[in-house]
Amino acid sequence: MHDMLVHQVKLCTDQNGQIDQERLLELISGAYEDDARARNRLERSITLMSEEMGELNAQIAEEARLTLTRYILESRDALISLDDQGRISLMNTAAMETFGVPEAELVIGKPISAFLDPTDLVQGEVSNFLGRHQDGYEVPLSATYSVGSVDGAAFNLISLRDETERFAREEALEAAKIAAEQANAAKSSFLAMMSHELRTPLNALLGSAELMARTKLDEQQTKYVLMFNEAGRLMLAMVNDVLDYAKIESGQLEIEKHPTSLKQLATEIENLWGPQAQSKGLDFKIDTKQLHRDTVLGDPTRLRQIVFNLISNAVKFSASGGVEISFSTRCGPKNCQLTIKVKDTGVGIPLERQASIFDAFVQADSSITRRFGGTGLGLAIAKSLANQMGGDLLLESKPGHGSTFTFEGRFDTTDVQDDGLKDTLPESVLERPLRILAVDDNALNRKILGAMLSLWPTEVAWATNGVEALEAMELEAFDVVLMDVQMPIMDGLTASRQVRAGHSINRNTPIVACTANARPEDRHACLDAGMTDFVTKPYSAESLVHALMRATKANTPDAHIPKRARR
Amino acid sequence: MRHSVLQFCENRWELPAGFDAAGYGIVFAFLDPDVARNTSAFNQLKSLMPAAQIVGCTTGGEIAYAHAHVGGGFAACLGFEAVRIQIAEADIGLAGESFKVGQDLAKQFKGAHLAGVFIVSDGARVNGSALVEGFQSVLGTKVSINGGLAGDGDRFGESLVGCSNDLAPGKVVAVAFFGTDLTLRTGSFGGWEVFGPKRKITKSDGNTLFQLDHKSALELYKRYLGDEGEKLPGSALFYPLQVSNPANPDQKVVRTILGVDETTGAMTFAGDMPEGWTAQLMFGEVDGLIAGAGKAGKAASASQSTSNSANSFAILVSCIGRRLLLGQRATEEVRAVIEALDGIAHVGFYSYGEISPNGFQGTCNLHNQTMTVTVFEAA
Repeated sequence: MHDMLVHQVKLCTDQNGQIDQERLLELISGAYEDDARARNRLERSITLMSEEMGELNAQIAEEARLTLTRYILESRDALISLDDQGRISLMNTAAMETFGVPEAELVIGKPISAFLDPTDLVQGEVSNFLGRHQDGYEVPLSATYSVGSVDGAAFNLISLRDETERFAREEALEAAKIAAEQANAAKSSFLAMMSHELRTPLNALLGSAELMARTKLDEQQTKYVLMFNEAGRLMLAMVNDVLDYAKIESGQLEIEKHPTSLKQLATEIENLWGPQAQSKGLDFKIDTKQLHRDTVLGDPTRLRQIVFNLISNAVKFSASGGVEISFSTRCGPKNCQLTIKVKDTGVGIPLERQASIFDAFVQADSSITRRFGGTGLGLAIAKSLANQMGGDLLLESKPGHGSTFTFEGRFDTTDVQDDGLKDTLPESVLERPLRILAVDDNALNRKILGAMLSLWPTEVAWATNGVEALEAMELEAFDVVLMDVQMPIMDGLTASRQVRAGHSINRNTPIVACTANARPEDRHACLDAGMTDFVTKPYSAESLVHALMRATKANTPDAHIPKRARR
Repeated sequence: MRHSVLQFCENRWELPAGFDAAGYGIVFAFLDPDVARNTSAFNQLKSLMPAAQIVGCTTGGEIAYAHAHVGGGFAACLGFEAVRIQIAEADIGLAGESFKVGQDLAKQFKGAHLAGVFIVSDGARVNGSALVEGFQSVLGTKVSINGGLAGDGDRFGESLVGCSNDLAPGKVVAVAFFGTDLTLRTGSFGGWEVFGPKRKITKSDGNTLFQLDHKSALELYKRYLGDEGEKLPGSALFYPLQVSNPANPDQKVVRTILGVDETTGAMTFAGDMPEGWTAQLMFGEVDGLIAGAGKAGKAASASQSTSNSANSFAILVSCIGRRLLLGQRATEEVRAVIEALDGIAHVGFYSYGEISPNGFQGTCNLHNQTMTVTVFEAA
């Protein structure tokens, strides 16, 4: 018997063992009722709990939907929600403005394709496309598209950005860039023109001075002519600096790559700066013990420019003591790291000026400009050149104890030897008298040139433009043609091209360009036109005779174009 | 220790053979409300054992002889050798005084080696959790505080408590046991399961609840009770609430309903219902409650089985809600406890709130809807 029944029977049994049947049935019935009630309660609880949980879930979903709706409507970003059919379920104010929709009600339930091509939307990615404004024009848009659902219903969200302003901004920026580039190009061409214009009178000025120096002068006159010459050279240096700096600024300065002899550079330094230093009573030492490689692929003109600038400063600012220059190389199989240190015993550079010493228009002391002259561009140019050579220009200086400037550059190695179109020949002597055609439109320059050429055994025929030059070349064979580049009627380039292309007797005659256009591209233009060499105005009698010497030495039928032009 | 259980039958206490009335110092009498009101059972005990302290209360059902009873009267007579007993009594007018009353009573206890306190309190007017906190604020949280709130059957009317005077409403009696020889062990367990959504208490006042999640709590109960809603407040006991402070969600207490005011929608619970706390409905399933009672017995049993059953005695305080739900199977939960305690001598009652040290925290608290077992053990 079940425990409960035993208990129930016991409760209904009196002292005599008589069972109160009515009471017993009542108890048993009560137990059944208890059980039924408990079961009902359990079932009811489960049902209600499910109902309540359902209500709660619906409430949570509703809250989520309301929150999302509120977020979309209140957002400043343009947002549109779509149902599973691609129909608009919400469009906020920013999105309405984008498409020119006056009332959201007008578009709810409409397909999104009224405003954009749904295939342009890529889930989880930013896409760019053109949307359709209500007024009929296209709007550049970018959008992100996310696919989701709220309470089982599709809820796809487009987040839009009107790119009209950005595009306008970018266009304006592009236009500004082009304008700036044009302005820069104009500046460059202005500088080139100025450089030419300044060089032409400088040519006459320095030429006159040089010629005058070769005449018989008394002591006083000699002094004046030297001053005259010095001032002219300084002016020339400044013109060069300004032109270089302008080119660096506009990114037009290019570093060339030719076989370059470092030993020859050292020799040039010795020859050029040694006497100057000694004349100031300074020691002048060049150490090439660590120079393990002679020839590298570099730009000898620019390398010289850097080093000469450093040495010039060192000599200029050292009143006593000396200047030491050391060369060293660290070479791998393909390239070579060159270090040139220029150490002086000068005044040194104050600490506070060291950081800005390489900035343009800065000198260690503003009084320097007054005392020593210069544009203050030299070091800025030198550093830019060093950077372009894959290196740097560094300074160590202790005020009162001198400065050390260290040039570092990285060059490719080459086995080709520097063919050395040497500017300095041992003796400026022509081997034989030369028949020369000189072409220049400027009467003053013609006079200077004539006077200079008369220093050597030469016979000169004159032409003032390309046409005259061609005519002259038809009539007579010349040993050398000295050709100005910019001339009226026909320029020197055209004339050179024509003579090279024709059958005149001067078809293979060396043509030396004499021009104030000093840029490398001008040089290349000359060589490309068939000219053989290049002398930059203002020229000295010395540079002129060297050009003549080079021209006559190389005057064989195949050799009129020098190696440098064969690129 | 000496112990004896007396049953009140046909207007008199049946005494076992060789009963020595002088051997007992403290007597706990648990009387059906009708028996208490209509007989002289309480005063008869006083006459029978003039030297002993007699503490009595009305119940929602009695426990004795491994059975759950209704309409009976039972007395636990306990005698100790080296245990000092001190009794403190107070009247309580309003639930709001509960904390203060607890404090005042606790302050009367003086002496070393307080082994524990057993409280028998009015169950209709008192805020049980505040009363226990009052005791704790004086005695500390480590002292074993046990007991229960008196009942009024399943009517939720007045409950009676007495000691030095007659049984009366609004009384609290606390018995303190001093001595190193006595050990009190307690087990308390519910067996109810939470179900349905977690709700927030959004409107309440002390132990009166008005709204859960901004909706009428009474309406919620009526919805769950269905046709049993007519039997409110008693039927609300089928759905106790588990409440917890969101700041300390692991410490949960169960709250049972004491009364309902249909006009204001107020539901009075046996303990605090602070606003902002989380509340979740609980559901009692018969077998789960019986198993829960067994766990309470197990928790109160000695860790080593050296205890001699002659030296120990258990007072079982279960909840009126459990009796209503278990119906005639209430006896099974009593048996589950006694079996877990190896047939220990015992007596007990169905209360309107159980007081015991929390099983996990070791601190005393008011519990609802539990079977709470206090074992007295002394040489």
